[in-house]
Amino acid sequence: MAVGETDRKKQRQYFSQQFQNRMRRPRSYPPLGASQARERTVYKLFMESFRDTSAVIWKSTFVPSEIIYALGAVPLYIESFSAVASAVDICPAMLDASEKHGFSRDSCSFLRGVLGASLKGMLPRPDALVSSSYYCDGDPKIFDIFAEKYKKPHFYLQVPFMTDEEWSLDIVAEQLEEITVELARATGRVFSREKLSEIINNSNEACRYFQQAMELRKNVPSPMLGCEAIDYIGSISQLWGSRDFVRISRHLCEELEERVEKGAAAVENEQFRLLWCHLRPYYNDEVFHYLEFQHRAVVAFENINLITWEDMDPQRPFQSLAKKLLTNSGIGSYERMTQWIASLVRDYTIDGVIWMAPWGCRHFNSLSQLVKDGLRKEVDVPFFILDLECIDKRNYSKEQVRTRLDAFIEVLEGRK
Amino acid sequence: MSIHTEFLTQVKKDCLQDNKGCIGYLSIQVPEEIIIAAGKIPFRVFGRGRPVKLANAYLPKTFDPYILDSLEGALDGSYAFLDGTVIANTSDAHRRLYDVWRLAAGPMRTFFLDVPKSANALGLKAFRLALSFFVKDIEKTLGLKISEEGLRDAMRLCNKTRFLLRELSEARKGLCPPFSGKEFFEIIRWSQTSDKQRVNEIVEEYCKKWRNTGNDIVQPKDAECGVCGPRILLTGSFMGSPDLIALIERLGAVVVYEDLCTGAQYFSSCVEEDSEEALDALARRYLSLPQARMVDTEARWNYLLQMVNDYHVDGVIYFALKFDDIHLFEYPHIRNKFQRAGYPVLYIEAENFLTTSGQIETRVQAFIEMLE
Ligand code: SF4
Ligand code: SF4
Repeated sequence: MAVGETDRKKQRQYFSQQFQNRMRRPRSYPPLGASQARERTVYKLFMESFRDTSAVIWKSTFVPSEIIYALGAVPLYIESFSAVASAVDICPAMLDASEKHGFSRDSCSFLRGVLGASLKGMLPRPDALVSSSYYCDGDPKIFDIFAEKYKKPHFYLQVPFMTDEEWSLDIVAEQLEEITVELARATGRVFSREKLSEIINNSNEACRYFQQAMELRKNVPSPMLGCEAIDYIGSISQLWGSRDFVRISRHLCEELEERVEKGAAAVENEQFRLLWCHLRPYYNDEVFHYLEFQHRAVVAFENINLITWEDMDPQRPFQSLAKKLLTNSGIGSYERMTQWIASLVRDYTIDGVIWMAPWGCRHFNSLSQLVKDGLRKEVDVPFFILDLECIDKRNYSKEQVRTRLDAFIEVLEGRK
Repeated sequence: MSIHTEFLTQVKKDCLQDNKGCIGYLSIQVPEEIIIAAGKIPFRVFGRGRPVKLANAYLPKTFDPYILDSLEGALDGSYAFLDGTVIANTSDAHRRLYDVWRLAAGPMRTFFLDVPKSANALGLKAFRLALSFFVKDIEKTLGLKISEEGLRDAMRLCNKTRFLLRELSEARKGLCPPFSGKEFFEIIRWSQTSDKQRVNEIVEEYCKKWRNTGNDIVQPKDAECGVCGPRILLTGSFMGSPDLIALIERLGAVVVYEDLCTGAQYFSSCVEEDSEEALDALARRYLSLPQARMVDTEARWNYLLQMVNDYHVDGVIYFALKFDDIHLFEYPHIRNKFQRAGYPVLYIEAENFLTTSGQIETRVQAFIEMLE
């Protein structure tokens, strides 16, 4: 596709066409109403970002979307573009473009995908960019490269490793405030504290529903497929603070309540309950389907759909957002992640943990063995490290993955 | 023996000194001044350059090879002589190493330092807070007090080292570089693993001697030193041994500047000695190092451009360690800039310690031939 950097209209048409194709794909399960609403909302958000009149702010996972909504701008969690592209099968061309340009195949495919998409002129031009030190090194680096390419300012949020120190909270809050003010300046928007308080209230409301939905997923049998639930994370990262997300999480909560009441199970005759760690392969549903439908091993929960924070104080928005951010168990020492996984194993009556380890993700792969060993002291649960790519399907082998999953399921069967 | 040979022999001999009372550190963002003010000798961990086995029980193979190599050293007792180690949050790999080091490296004390990637006002403030935390941690663990005066003395001592090393490096700007890149690498490695007082004395003595000869610049060790091929700037990832430099020079080029954290970045700037608060000055200096990990790529590029000009460079070799994401992502961007500025670039991706790789040799050779 040959489009100019500023040609958001053509990009919009292209994206829309790909998305429609995806929506027309036959599904192997009937999605919940909330999940369909979530898909439509993400689509709408992307479409917004391709509008010439929109102020688009590229952000990485950890940058709170609330500060962007408070400015009336569109938060674009840019890695999720790679996920969507992988799902509609336009990712190989993006990855090829990035590799031809010299980016190593050993690095994260989400980031390489975005770099390739940018090289091919598929991304909506940003008005400003915000990256953060978590989760990974690649992110701030490529944001800096993009900032130069698109000639837009790049702001960086330093999230300290020592999350429990009082000064950590203060310094994150201070940075968030400064970044918000700078974003307003860069995008020509007005920043108002009242608006941010309102947005914080939206997050609180959505959070309460989402937490309730998390509670409902503790039910045995599980009321929701993991294959469906895991897709919430991409949206969550860019929807916190929006009214849409309040509606989606309320809807999800109601649907799950109803299913639990009726005793409806996501997987009939549920045999095993799994905890899935990291994201998922986006190019197909095969792995989840194989586990959930063939082996009746439901993915009862995912470590990334995490809400670890409490209600925020709308009167102290930056302090509250900093607190929210620092409660994330992905930051800091491996012990934090181990404790978090152990608590999920207990709360969700988990029989086995699948720890997906994509080749290029240093942040997460470096935790694999440490968490596995640490967990042994906390809970008695089989832990399986599954090497699998999220975005790049070029090395994917259905048979190989199945054989490995079979072996794991055998272990679980042996413990019954 | 010429002044030059005498100096290099002395450096070599001094490297073998017994290292007692050392605190290890891995990243050049760790202020050596704080370690010195705590009465210890800062010892840069360079890795051991041997195959990794024990470390694989903790960290994946697809990980920064320098980190795996250093961890192996901690696990097999190679660093048992250290009184402690400082690990800084300079990359994903380093911060995870902190987890493993304190878990598995035996009774050795492990300190941590958070290092932001941005040097703006809030980045500096964050780093300043992290430095205070680090100082308090050292004081508490070692049961001592780090005084402002002690820090000031250490600042002066380290600045002197930087000044002297810079003087040596700048002598390479001329037509006849007095040191081969390999020799220079060894000098920098020695200066990062030895008592600064001694380093300063030895380098100062050497400089004094050659100044006495009435020359402006250091004289080559002899008329046929054989380092007069194309002039190379080497940049990229951490490099623990001079093997790649030796290979480049064996094939007929000369490395006149190594923009590496084990090279010129180590002494690229000084700490302001007259700053009101020592820790503020340290924060400013250490956060301004022109490293790829920082989010100011523009500042880094300007620095690199300055260096290729100052050192009359003919070609650039970009070295990336496998799985070092910062450099893997930086490379195409910096390559394009160099090429636009008219400098040919050769890219080499390899493990920490270069095992004789025919493929690399062939590529380096072809690159040098192209420059000649
Ligand atoms: S998958 Fe891993 S490496 Fe890639 S963007 Fe996410 S945290 Fe970073
Ligand atoms: S061989 Fe000659 S020209 Fe080349 S560096 Fe040595 S003395 Fe200088």
